[in-house]
Amino acid sequence: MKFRSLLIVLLTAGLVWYFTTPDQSDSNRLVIYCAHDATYAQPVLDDFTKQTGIEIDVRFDEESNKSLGLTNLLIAEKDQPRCDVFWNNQTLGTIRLQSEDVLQPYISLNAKRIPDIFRDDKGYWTGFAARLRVYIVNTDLIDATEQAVGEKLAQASLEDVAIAKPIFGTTLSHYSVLAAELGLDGLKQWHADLHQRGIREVRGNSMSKDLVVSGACEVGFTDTDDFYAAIDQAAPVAMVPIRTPKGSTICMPNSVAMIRNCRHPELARQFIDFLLSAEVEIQLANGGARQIPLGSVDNERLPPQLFELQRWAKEGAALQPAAAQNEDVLNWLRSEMIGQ
Amino acid sequence: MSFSLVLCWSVVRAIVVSSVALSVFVPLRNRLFQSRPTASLARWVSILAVAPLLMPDLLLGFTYRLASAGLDFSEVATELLYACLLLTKVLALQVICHWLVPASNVSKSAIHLWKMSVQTSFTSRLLLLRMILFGPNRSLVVGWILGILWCFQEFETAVLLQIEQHPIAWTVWLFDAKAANEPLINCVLFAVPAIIIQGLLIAAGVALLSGQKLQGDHQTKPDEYAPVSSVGNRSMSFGPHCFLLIVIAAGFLITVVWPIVLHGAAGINGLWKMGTTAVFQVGLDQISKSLAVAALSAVASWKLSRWLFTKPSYRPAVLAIVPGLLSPLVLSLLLLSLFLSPGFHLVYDSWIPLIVAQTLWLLPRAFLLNIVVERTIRSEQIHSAKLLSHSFDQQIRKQAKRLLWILEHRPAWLGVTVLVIMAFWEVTISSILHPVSLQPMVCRLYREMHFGHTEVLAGLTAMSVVFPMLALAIAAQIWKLVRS
Repeated sequence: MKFRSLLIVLLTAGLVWYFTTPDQSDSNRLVIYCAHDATYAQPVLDDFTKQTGIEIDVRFDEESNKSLGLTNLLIAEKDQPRCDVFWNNQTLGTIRLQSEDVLQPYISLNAKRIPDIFRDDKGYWTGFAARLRVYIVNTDLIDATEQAVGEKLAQASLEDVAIAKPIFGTTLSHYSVLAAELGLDGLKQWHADLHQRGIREVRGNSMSKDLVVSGACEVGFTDTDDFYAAIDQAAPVAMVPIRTPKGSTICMPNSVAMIRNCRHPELARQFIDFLLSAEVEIQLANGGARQIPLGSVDNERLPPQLFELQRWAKEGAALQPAAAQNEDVLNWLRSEMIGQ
Repeated sequence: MSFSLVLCWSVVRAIVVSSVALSVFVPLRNRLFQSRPTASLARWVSILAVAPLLMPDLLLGFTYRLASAGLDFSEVATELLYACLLLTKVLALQVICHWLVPASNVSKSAIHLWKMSVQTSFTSRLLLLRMILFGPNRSLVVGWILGILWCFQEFETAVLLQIEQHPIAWTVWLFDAKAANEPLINCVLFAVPAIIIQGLLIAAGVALLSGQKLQGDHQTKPDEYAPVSSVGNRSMSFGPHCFLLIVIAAGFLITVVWPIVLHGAAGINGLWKMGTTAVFQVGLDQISKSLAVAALSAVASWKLSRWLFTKPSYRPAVLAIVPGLLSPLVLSLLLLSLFLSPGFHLVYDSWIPLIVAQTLWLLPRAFLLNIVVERTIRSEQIHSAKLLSHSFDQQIRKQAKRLLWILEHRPAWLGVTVLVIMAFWEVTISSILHPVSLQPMVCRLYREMHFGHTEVLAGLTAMSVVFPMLALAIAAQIWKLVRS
């Protein structure tokens, strides 16, 4: 019995310790939901804390909870939010939150740096530091030109081309942009054509990149951040921008938004100001993901390979029409999957 | 692909993998584990066979992710790779069942005599079948059932290996359906057939393990009556013996050695580099808190299952284990909805939802482990050891307490340890229900695996494997000390 009592005391002490840790009760801690890769986002968050002294609790989006996703979590928490600021690594999900009445407007002074096309005019969200959808090409196997990739994609067999499952992430955004241009029926036709010709569907962009790096595929659909991960591994790869039928590129900015009825509105505004600064865009451009600054920055502080990406980003398709298609695209993909 | 097809695929694979493991294990058991001259060899073979079970599914999936990608797009090859990885774990389960499941008093001789009694009626054939299942083959059948359950519930390795929908797994399908915004209630309805399948398997396992406890269980290991071992010893040829050892060794190489070879050096480098940085301290903090939560959940599920075990009615047990069979995803989402509702919102951003979910998820496993442990404990010997522990001779008292630890407490500690490791490495529940103030270590590892930052990742992985083992070993020593 003595041991049992000791065990109960220890367990209770453990519980008390957990629920009384300062993190839980400190009202001066900003809560951020961050869908941007933690490896690249954490230094930015640390810099904010260093500069302002404001501590941050962050919940990152992970592969493991893609089934729920931060966007859906924010909708579920709408009535009693615990999050103050949502740093999304895309824009379409953030626009969906606006339509679900989860966001509250805030026009940061720094938002004026960003072109109008990448921000909401009422201030519900603001885009910054973008990625591009690109073809990653194994240069040992195929020329890295738009023409060579176009010819490859026109071939009867696409068994050495990889694409991620479209129900997740940027591939879903890619599909939504195409649906906005081609209509849902046009998208369905495009999707069916790729699959009839045997395109390899993998679970994520990083896997698509890995297949190209290993030489198992010649071409893969991916994002610039995954492409640069391959470059950092010294893989024999190059990239070509993905273009829509109308010739636009697919540029996906990060977006930041303040949560309606959040607990720390003043801290949230400070953080949004910080995140939309030129300094953070430069920091993200020099990080592993080489994110493309959308606002004006000192170009001398950017890696040279970003200049071309900046040019491609300016040719990006409008995101609002794609956001309007997002839900329909997902519903169609779900019905395809479930077989209804 | 429809869910019913995916479910059928998952069931068939689970049955095939577990049956193959059984067919590998039976000759191994007959030739190796029952022959006294090879006892030390049997011990080493057992260690090799059981080790794969300690390798987290997450790490296994990560190690073979690129191998799966490099299989030149053969869906059969991807399925075979996944089946091989599952096979090593199921084989380990068979070895554990051989150790733990107590013997039946129906010997092989009894079955032989029954067969000779020339009764051809349906009832007598049924009785013969029952004698075979509940008799000397009981541990094999229990291992076979556990193997099917293990394969059927697996998620993390499958999701990391998956290319072109292969390996097909109902757990991954359900995950994707939810990601595509399928309503939660539909996901629950989809999971119902899976719950029924698992429920039937658990019921069969419980039926096999329950029943009158036998006098002198331990001494009457069925195989001692069997002529197989002696005949096996005499006729044991090098060929089949060698083949079986190769199978076990291959399993050990695939699941333990290769991941260590692949990530070991990077792990040591990573640990060395992290040693003085904040990454190490944060990692240690994450591991210790994750471990504490896992331990709380494991102890809670263990205690709850013991309490359920003592109930005369089976209904509370059935009700309690159903949530744990829903799949971690559906269970987590249901609990998320519950803790977001007004009555429970107060504790939403705490560790409570995570502990509740892990406890419920562990409960069916704890229930089965408890039955196994309960059937292993030999009350007569424990009683004798307790009497000896009151001896006037200090040496005898000391020996008796050591005996008591071995007979009574060590099986329970092993059971709880298995549950702690399961909870610590479970990804889905942790990623959905963790409080915002701290991220469980397993979520961080999963995230790092996505980017393949090998040195930091390997260092953190090494910490996550070594630290919990050390902590559990220390906890065992403390428990032993307190008990003595």
